[in-house]
Amino acid sequence: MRLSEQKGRESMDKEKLTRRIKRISRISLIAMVVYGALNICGMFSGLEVRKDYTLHVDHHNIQITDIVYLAAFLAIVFSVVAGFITAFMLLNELGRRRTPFTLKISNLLRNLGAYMIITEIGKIICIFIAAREIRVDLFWFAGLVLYAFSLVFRYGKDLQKLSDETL
Amino acid sequence: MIKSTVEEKIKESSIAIMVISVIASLLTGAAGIYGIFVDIGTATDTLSKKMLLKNYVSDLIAAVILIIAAVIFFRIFKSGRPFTRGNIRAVRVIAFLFLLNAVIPSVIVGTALGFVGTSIIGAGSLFNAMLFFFFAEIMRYGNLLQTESDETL
Repeated sequence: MRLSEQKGRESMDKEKLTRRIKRISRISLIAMVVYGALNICGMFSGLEVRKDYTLHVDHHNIQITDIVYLAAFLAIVFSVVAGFITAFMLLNELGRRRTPFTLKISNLLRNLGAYMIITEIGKIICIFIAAREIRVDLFWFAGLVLYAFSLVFRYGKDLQKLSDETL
Repeated sequence: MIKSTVEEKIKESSIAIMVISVIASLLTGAAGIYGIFVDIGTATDTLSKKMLLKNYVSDLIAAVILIIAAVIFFRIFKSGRPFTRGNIRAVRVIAFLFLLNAVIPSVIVGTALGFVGTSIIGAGSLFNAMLFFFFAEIMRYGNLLQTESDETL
């Protein structure tokens, strides 16, 4: 009797948490869109004077470093756009699914981590070529953490499967 | 993938990330402390000093966040279980520190420039704080599943 009561309480907690996760993911989705739009408008550009890392290419004498710079720049653009779309899909998926622990969500997290690492590597290459400086931020680290979280979600998926089979 | 294989992979990646977190934390913390005690003294005007202080306070907060991340990943490496109460609490602390990082550096600059016209809250850190609170909720759900699984087996 007590065991069934406890099971009932746990499943109620689970339902409550699922509802809350869905609600937060919807809010995050909206916040992400607003944050992206504000960034595009440059409203949070900050007070510091930003350094210019643009490389001026001589069209008549293109060197190998220019091509590498261009490739790195394109990689940044691709990974930022892809990262934004992936984050959007991730939050949308979290808001729709019964559980946060699915293979699709785990894969989306892994991809998001990979895009973050590509962005950071591209940025390091661009800054190095343009200004001969090495500037490393923690973006690559966030990518690695997301990769680890994707594994945690995969573990969660197994737990979810076990829980579904038990009920 | 079989559960034990996933556990092994989680352990492997956790130890790697833990080591990176510790190294990054030491470097960031050292940069913050050096900046506060040495670099700020070289600045001539108040605005430059406040700007530098803002950056170094952010560095120190980042160092603490990295240390907590290292603790989380160390725990995961040791037990192979990510969804524990301790880890949920630690993720919440990280979220709270991101909130502090969103407010404190802006307040430091605000005292120099005046609060009108400066953005009081750092949007990036605020977004990170929200994400970590979100992760904490997902981990709570995972914790419930873990308890259920332990009771079943």
